[in-house]
Amino acid sequence: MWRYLFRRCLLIIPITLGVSFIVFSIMAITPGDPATMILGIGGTQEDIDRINQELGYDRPFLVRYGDYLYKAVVKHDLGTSYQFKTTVWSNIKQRLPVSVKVTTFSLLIASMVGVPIGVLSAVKQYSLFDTFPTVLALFFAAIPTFWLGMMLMLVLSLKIPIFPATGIASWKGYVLPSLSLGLPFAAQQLRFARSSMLETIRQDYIRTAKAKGAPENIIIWKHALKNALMPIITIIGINFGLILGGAVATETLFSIPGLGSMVVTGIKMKDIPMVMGGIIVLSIICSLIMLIVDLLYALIDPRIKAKYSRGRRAAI
Amino acid sequence: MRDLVLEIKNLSIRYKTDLETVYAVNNISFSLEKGQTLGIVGETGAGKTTAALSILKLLPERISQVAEGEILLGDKDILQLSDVEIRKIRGNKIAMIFQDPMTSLNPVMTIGEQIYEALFFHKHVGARREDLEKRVDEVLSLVGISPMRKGDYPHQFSGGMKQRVVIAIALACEPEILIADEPTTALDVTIQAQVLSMINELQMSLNTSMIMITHDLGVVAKTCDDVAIMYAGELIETGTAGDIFCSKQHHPYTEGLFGSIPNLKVEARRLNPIPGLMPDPTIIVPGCKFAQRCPKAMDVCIKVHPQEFVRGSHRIKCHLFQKGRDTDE
Amino acid sequence: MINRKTCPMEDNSQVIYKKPSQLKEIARRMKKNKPAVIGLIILTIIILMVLFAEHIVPYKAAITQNVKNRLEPPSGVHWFGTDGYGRDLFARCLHGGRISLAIGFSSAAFSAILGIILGSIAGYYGGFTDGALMRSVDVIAAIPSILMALAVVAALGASQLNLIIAVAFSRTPAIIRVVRTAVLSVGDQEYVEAAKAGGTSDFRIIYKSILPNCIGPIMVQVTMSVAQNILAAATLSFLGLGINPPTPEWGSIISESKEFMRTANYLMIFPGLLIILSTLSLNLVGDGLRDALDPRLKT
Repeated sequence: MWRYLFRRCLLIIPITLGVSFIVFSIMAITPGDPATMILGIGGTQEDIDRINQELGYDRPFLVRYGDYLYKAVVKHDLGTSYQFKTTVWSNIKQRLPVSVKVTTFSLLIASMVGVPIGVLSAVKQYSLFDTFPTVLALFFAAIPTFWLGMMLMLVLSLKIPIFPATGIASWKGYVLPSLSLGLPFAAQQLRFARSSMLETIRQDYIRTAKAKGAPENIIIWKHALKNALMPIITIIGINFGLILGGAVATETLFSIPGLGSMVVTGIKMKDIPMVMGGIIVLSIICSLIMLIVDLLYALIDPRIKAKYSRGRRAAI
Repeated sequence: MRDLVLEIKNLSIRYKTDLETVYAVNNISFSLEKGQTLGIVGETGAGKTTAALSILKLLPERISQVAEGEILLGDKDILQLSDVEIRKIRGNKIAMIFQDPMTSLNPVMTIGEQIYEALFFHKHVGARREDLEKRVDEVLSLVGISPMRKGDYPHQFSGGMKQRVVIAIALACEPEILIADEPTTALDVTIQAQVLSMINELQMSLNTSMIMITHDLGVVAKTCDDVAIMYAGELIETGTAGDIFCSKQHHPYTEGLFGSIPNLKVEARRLNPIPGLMPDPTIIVPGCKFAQRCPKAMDVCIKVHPQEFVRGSHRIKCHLFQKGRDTDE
Repeated sequence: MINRKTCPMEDNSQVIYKKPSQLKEIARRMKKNKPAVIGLIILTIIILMVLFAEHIVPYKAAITQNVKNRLEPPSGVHWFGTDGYGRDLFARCLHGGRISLAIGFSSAAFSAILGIILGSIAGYYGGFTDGALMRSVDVIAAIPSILMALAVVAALGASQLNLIIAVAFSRTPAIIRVVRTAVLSVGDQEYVEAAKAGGTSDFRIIYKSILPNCIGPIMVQVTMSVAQNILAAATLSFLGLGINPPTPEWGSIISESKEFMRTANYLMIFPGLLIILSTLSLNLVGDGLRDALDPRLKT
């Protein structure tokens, strides 16, 4: 088990390297050069060339990438933002906690609302407890997060001023962004939890439990849920990545200084170091979440645990 | 004096979907005596499992419907019991062994826990955890599994061993009635005999009554006191094992069943399978359901539903044996 | 012991057993599924409306500015009202839908083709090819898909085609995974073995024997991805990295409406509802398709 954990952690390294290479390549083919961005339209050609040279932008692509990697790994230096003239690392340090808070709150809303209601509506299939949440979930799963954010802003901030429309001066600032990001995913998780639970209660071992004389609630919460939880956890893990991505629009809408909005402005400004740093950190978070999902799997399902203990290569 | 533990009277069960109504079990009656084994034989889709599940009220709730009939356990009709009452019977008075051991055990619970549960749900007042755990060990050794392995999960056992665990769960509370739904079908042939004789021994020692559902006449011959042959949701022939295996008079379907078994005594080139398939269970036919496939079918067979011909314990539902016709004996 | 293989069931020479073709059966089950039918109807109406948008309201109404008419609330003349430049919102939504749906469908088609090719190669050949492909998929999947699409659009420049490529690129890993799993599950079936033993070419085996048998999960995934793509494209445009103004697109219409949130909220409500309606109906169809392919799930 520990060996598996170790190997699984090591796997994050090549993935992060791959991510950095892909993002670096994409940024490299982006039209325009950093100096023009830094100097604005007024810069002379000499100034542009000089700054590009200082930044090492005139060197070949692979050399630049190698240089970037070298600095990042050996000197822990992710470069300096072209727009702010501050180090990327200091920006990330500032913004990461904000992003983590927003995504965690959203994921909590999504899971706390979605999973229990989903399970319940599967148990009460065909009743009003099933139909009503299912229809509502269908609707919410189709809403774009940024639009839901605007609607929440309109109703709960502009019409009835309960929460601030922008910024994160207090905890209240987190409410609307987390709701707008969390509710569509809650809807998805509800749908998923429901179908996973329906699938599980149709299994033979549930019939065995019934034949033993097990009461309804034990069958649901003990026998079925543990089995149904496996696919639900997977979807929560996948949704975490999607929420991280969705946070880009939400952070921009609510003017929240998170990693997502950092990447968006970075892309618009062609601030390569910022974009690189932001995306790499976000994808490391994603990989870590997938790691946690895998571990939870092993915790819940003895079959998978056994597989890992034997040291077999696991499907990733 | 016959000591009946379970009596089923005129039971009919239907499955209703949006598209069609399946007449799965049609007006069957049989009874089970204390300590005896009743074999229900028939091909896949004959309604054997449906009948068995109805005894524990385990039929899928929404789509199934008991159209008529009674299932009497003592003086109580199981079909009329509330959820709480039937729960006290399940696993306690009537237990069931399912067909596929691979899927009948919960993959994320240890087998010890799964057996413990069966006891826990029906524990007598004052039973302590240690007592129940001791009983788990007992039951495990009863089915030939070392109690050391009770912390293991189902995936760590082979198919035959899993079926032993399923049997252990069923026998944990020493039920009066055991329903075994094709308990050996999913197992390897070599394991089949082992498991079967184990079920038999345990049944004898506990004096449990048993309903053995199978499509395997060999199993019936080995284990059953009474036999009921089921075809398309109906019992077409019932009797003691002697009636079925030794008497000369049989329903043509039963004859067909025997014809499709390889026989060591008679040398035959080929087996004689019964041609055709069972009729569509969504359609009610006026006559005998076997008429389409029956080699001895007469005009009357297609038009009139046959009455039961009774001789002692032997009952046959066929026009061949109606009054005045039973000439050969 | 009875040999079960020779049970009466075996001889079915006399039996007339009509097996409806798979597609017909799926269509029949879809028809029974009310939500799916409703979804299909809504979807058809939306598609027809945007296809014939030019005949309903000319494109000129969607881009001609008319300051005198700006910010008029919905009325008989302007069904959805007019925007900050006095353009008819109904016309903008209709013509914008053309672009939104086009991006959604074509990027789904694009990623489906790419995903099917790469996924079946990975699943069929296994070994090193599979390993290399799937590790690259892991890498791309580790980047949140919106960020990936953002970066691609930034690199290629904002245009309709590039938006399609960007969205398709970020969606492909998921489809590759689904296809690979499906191919793996039928890959060692006997009929595939038989085809291999018969010396059929790999391409033919994949194309003729494997893909038709795993088309179900792929179809569901692709249908669902159309909805996700519409959302993704709208998000990109909302962030200002999609369709350039004045060309209408649902996401960019909503983005433009931000400044009028207080005064003219219908500007964001109508295009938002259209996005919801189309993704909702696509999800309904996808659900229906999934249930129709796996009838076991619906009882």
